[in-house]
Amino acid sequence: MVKRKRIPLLMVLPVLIYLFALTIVPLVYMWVLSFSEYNLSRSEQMSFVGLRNYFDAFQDTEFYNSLTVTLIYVAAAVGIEFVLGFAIALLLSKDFRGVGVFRTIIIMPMMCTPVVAGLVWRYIFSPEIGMANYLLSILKIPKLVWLGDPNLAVVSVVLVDIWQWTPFVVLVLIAGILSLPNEPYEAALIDGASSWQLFRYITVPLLRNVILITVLLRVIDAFKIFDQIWVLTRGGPALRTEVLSIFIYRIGLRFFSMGRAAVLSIMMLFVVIGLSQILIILIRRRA
Amino acid sequence: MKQYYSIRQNAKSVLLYVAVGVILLFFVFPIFWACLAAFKSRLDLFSQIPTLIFKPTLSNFRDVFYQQPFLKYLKNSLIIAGCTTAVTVSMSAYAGYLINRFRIGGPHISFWILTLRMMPPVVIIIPYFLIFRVMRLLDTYLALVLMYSVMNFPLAMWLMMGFFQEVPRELEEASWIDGCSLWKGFISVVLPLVLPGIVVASLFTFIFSWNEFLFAVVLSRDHARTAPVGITLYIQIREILWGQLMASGILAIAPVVVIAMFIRKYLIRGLMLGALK
Repeated sequence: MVKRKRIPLLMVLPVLIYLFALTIVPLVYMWVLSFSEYNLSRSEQMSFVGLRNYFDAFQDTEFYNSLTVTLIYVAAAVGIEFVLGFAIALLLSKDFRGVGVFRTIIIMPMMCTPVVAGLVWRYIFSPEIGMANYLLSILKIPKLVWLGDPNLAVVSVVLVDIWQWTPFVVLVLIAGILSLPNEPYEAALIDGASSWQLFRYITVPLLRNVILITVLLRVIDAFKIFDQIWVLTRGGPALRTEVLSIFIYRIGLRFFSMGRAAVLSIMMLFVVIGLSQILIILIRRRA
Repeated sequence: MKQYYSIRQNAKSVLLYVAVGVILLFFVFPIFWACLAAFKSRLDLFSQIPTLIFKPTLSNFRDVFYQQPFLKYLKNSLIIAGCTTAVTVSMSAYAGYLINRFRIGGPHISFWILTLRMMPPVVIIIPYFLIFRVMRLLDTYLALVLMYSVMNFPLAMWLMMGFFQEVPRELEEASWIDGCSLWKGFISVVLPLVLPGIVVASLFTFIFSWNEFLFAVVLSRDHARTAPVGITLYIQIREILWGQLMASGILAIAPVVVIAMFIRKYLIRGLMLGALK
C-alpha cells in the first residue's frame, strides 16, 4: 500500500509541475516587474526602482477612480442580479405547463460569448437606430445617450451584466429550491404560516450556503469583468466605466508601463485571493 | 363558491404567464433582435423606426464569408478550442483521478488548483505578454492553447473529481488484484464509467475557450486571431458595420448555444464547481 501511495504522487507530479510553471513563474516575474521601471514604448531597458511603483499607485487618482467604479459595478450588478434572480427562481420553480421550456430558454444570455453580448447591447443602446431609444420615444421620453453620458454609462453597463448573469442566479436557485425537503413546509402550513414566512424562515435558511456560494462566485466573476465593457465603452466616457481590468489593460498594454501595471495586478490579485478563500471555506463546509 | 375559486385561480395563472412572458422577453429579445439585424439590408438597419417586417437578405453573411477572413477566424477558434479541450480534459481527468483516489496533498492541492479558477485573466496577461514576446510566441496557436489549458484546468478537474467520487473503489481494487497496473485499471475500468463526465468537462472547456476574448486580443494578430476578436473588427473608426457584426456574432454564439442545450443538466454542476448537483 505504501508503494501505491508513492507511485500516484510521482504520476501526478508532471501535471502539477505544468500548472505550477505556468502560473507561479509569471506571477514571480510580475512581482519582479513591480519593483522596476520598464516601459516598452521608451526602451527595452528594465531598471530597479524599489517601492516607487507602489507609492505611485497609492497616490494615483485614476486608480482610486477605477477602484470606485469597480466596487459600484460589482455591488449594483450582483445585488440586483440576486434579488431579481431569486424572484424569478421562485416563479420558475413552480410547476406549470411549459415551465421546462422557460427554464431552458432563460439560460441563453449566460451562454452568449461575452463580446457578442456586449455588442448586441451596443446595438440596442445605439443613439440613432437603437431599440432602447425607440421604446423611449413611444413613451414620449427624450432620447438618451446610453453609453456616452458620463452618469448613465455605468447604469447601462450594469444593465448588460444583469441581463447576462441573472440567469445564472436563477438556474442555481431553481435547482436549490427544487432540492429542498417538503416536510418543513407542510409542518409550517399546518401552523398557519404565511407564504412570506415560509420564504423567510424556511427557504432562505435552508438555502443559506447555496446563496452564499452563488453570490460570492458572482462577486468574483463581476470583479474580473472585461469583455463586455471593452466593447461597450472601453472605460469611457471620462473613465466613468473604467473597471480595474480595463484600467490595467490601458496602463500595461496601451501605455506599456509594465511596472505600474504589475503593481495594480498584484493588488487586484490579493483582493481576489481574499474573496476566494472565503468561497473555499464555504465549499469545504458543504462537502 | 367553487366557481369564484376557479376564476381567481385562472386570474392567478394568467398573471403568472404574463410575468414569465415579460421576464423572458427581457432575456431573449436582445438575441432575437440581433438575429433579425443579421438578415437586414443596410436600408432596413438604418431606418429611424425599427423594422420588424422586412425583406431578409443574406448579403451580410456573404460579406462576412467572402469579403472578410471571418471563416479563417472561425477555423482558428475551432482549432484552438479543440486543442485546448484535448489537452485540458486528458490532463484533468488523469490528475483528478489520482488526486481524488490517493488524497494527494490532502485537500490543499485540489483547493490550490481551485484558486486558479478565481484568478482575473488581466492579472496574468502582462507577464505572459512579455514572456511570449521574448519567446516569439505572440500570434501563435500554441500561446493561446497554453493559456486556455491552464485557465480551464481547475474547472475541468473539479468536475472530473465529482464524477470519480461516484465510481465505487472496489471496482478498480478488484482489477488490481487481477493483476492490472494502476494505469491499466484507470484506462480500462474507471475511464469508461466516467464517460459522461469527460463529455461534460470537454464541452465546458470548449465553450470557455471558444468565448475567451482578453487573451486572444492581446496575444494574437492576423495569424491566430479568433472569432470573438474578429467580430470586433467590424467596429471601425468611421462607422460600425452592424449587419456584418451581427451576422458574425450569430455565427460565433450558435455552436455554444447548441452545446449548452445538450449539457443543460450538468450546467449547474460545472458553474458551481461541484458545490451543487
